[in-house]
Amino acid sequence: MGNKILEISIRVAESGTIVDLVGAIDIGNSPVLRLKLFESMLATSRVAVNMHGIRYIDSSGIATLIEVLVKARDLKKAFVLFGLGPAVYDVLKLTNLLGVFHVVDTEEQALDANAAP
Amino acid sequence: MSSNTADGPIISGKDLRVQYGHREILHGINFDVQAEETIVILGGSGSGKSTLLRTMVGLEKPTSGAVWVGGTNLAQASAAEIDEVRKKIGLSFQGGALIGSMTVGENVALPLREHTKLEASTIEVMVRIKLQQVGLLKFQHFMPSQLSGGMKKRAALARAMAMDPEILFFDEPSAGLDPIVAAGIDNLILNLKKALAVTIVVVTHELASAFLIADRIIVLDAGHIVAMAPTEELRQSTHPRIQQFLNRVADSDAGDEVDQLQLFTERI
Repeated sequence: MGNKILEISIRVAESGTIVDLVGAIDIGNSPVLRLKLFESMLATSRVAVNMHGIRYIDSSGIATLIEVLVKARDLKKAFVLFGLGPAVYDVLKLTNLLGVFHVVDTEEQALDANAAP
Repeated sequence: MSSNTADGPIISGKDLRVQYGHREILHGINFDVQAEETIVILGGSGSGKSTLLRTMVGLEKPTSGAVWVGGTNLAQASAAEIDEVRKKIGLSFQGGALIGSMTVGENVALPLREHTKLEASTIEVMVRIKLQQVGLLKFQHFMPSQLSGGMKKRAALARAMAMDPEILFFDEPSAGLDPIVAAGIDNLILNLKKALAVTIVVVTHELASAFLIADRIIVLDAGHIVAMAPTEELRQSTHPRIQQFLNRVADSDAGDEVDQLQLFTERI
């Protein structure tokens, strides 16, 4: 029940921006994540979020991802999640959101403009 | 909450005593709850089960002993420390305790608006996630008075889950509901147990419900723990008080007669 830590690092590639996340996404840190993702979205045509290092996500984290997805659709940009572990996968499944997000396995797939919307 | 819970129980009571005035309700009980476990506290009227729940959420102060919740001993904690613990637990009261002048959605949003710095748009999405989890997404804009008893319980549960607590407490979740609606609440608790990494503590006197949802059951009787065991082990118990409870055998009136005798003969 302690404060959870989320490390956010951003890499810029030729075909988009990769946001690497490590730790846990919760009420305490999801506002920062929201800000970083919105900023990344404005600076590129494709944001790929690496969820491989996420061991916990709460509903504020899911809500943040939904908000960014809606923003991406408004701006006609791509927003892709990849490397989902069981912690994230199960929560998305529980909330019936697996089909809403574009989810792929690898970074290469996430940055592939021909494969992702 | 703190490092001393990393490998140990998320809740524990050590020689926990609680009294109201001169009357002791809990007589030095010891128990533990492991993280992500579902514990049911079972007992008849006056057994002390509701007092135990109120003590575990910081609404009652122990007379002596300790009650640790996520690394904080509530018996010695300051009001500010208890408030911090309360932000990380969810409590679904027997009566629902929804605010009648707010819509269902506003009730669920309330703790998020009060205790977080989340944007209004994020809170709105979170409210819908919670209402979807309890099957009330279409009732976000209804007033509590427009809901049935079972729906009020589910709405109260959505509010209890608003802050994504690590521990969810339920006080008599099936009280006042017909058996079919009560079974729906049991199923909802089971679904949450499967889907969320959450510790669940349920206080009830409903036997069928207890055996359906619990990993372990604590049986309280007159302020003492008479059993703390996995459900199947409890079914096999030969303890007379547990057998009496499981078989729904009424108490003898002998004790009451003694009390009555004292009542009429004691010097005033």
